Amino acid sequence: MKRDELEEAFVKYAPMILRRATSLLRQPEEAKDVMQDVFIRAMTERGGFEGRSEVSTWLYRITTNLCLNRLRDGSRRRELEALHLTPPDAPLDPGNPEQRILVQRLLAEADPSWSEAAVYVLIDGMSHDEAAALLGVSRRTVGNLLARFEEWARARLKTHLTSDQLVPIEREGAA
Amino acid sequence: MSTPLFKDARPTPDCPSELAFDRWQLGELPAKDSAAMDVHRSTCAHCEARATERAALAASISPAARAQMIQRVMQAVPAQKERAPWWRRAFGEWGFVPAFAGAAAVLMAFVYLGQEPGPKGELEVLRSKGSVGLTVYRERGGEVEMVRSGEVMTRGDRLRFGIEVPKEGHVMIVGVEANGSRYVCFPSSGASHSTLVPAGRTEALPGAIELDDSSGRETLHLIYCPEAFALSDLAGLDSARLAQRGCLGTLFEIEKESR
Repeated sequence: MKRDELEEAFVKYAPMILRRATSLLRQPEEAKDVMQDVFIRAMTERGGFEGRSEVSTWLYRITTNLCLNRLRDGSRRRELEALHLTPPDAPLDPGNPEQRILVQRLLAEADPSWSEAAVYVLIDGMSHDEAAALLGVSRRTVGNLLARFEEWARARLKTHLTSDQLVPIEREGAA
Repeated sequence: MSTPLFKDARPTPDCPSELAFDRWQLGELPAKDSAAMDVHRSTCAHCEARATERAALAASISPAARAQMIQRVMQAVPAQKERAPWWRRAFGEWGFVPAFAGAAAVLMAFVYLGQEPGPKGELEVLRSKGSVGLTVYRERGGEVEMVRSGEVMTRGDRLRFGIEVPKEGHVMIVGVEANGSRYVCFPSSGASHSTLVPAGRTEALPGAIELDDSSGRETLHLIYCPEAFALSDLAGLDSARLAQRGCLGTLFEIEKESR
């Protein structure tokens, strides 16, 4: 891809990528790094931008996975784990600053395939059909991935999320 | 009914997902959906705010910052020469390795992982249960192309495979002919054990198979398990037992015509 073609793609898609990365990472500088990585990845993948009918969905998925990788990254993970969090009684709201770190931590710790499906449906508000099309799986598989994520996350929220270790709540009184 | 884990991500049921909103702004939605979005956007305060937020974000990328980032991207990406698609190169570089001819019958009471087939027409078909993917490439008369599940094949067509697995693990590709005969496509026709593959996508597995002159519908099954397994392990196992072992699977259909 020539420079002017990249520039054209950048003008068109960079805002979408930046918004997507910012919404998951909540750190503007890190989101910009991801944006750069997305374009590098897009240009080095086979075929690059050429011949793709839905570039935005392709870039959206690359961005999501790069962001989830960052959340799983060791140093970021430690940063998330250093925060003492209290699971809320009400449903989690990723838009709530106090709860977004908890959401990020769940996404970082869950199985990658569950996290990706959870991001699309529970955070981005996609229908199961939309997520299925994006993931390249069936609608039923999306439902299964979400069910596994939710089951795991509910169990995970019953533990203390402290900086040092995870202590099941059930053991709290016995200690 | 238990409390939902997450608050509903959409303020109203009519609000589009974030991706749909982006695609609408990029002009990528079909005309009908786009028109519906135009109407919704004009009446939804939340989506109005979304548009404003996006415009502000786009404006925050200054021309100087954009030029700088493009420069960094250009430097990071190695110079691209005019090259044939990778699968054409792969065939050329690795040559063709006949893996079987005819039905090497592997008689096993093999019950495949229960799963529904994905929609036909996708280029990379049939993933299920956690991102297991099987891509098939056909070489016919010197031309190589990616083929879709359900496509018609004929004697002499040569197939190679690309796979995608969620984690490092062990795989085997087994073909099942219309008459029920089984044969191993990968690691090799005579293989009795799975082989270890890295996590993620492997663009082209080594080796290829050549189709014989039998006709009818055949299925190619990619089986992935965290632990090594033998072909004999698949005998008599049902989907539930395979799933308990953490195995995943996907299938690809071919219609064979004898000419």
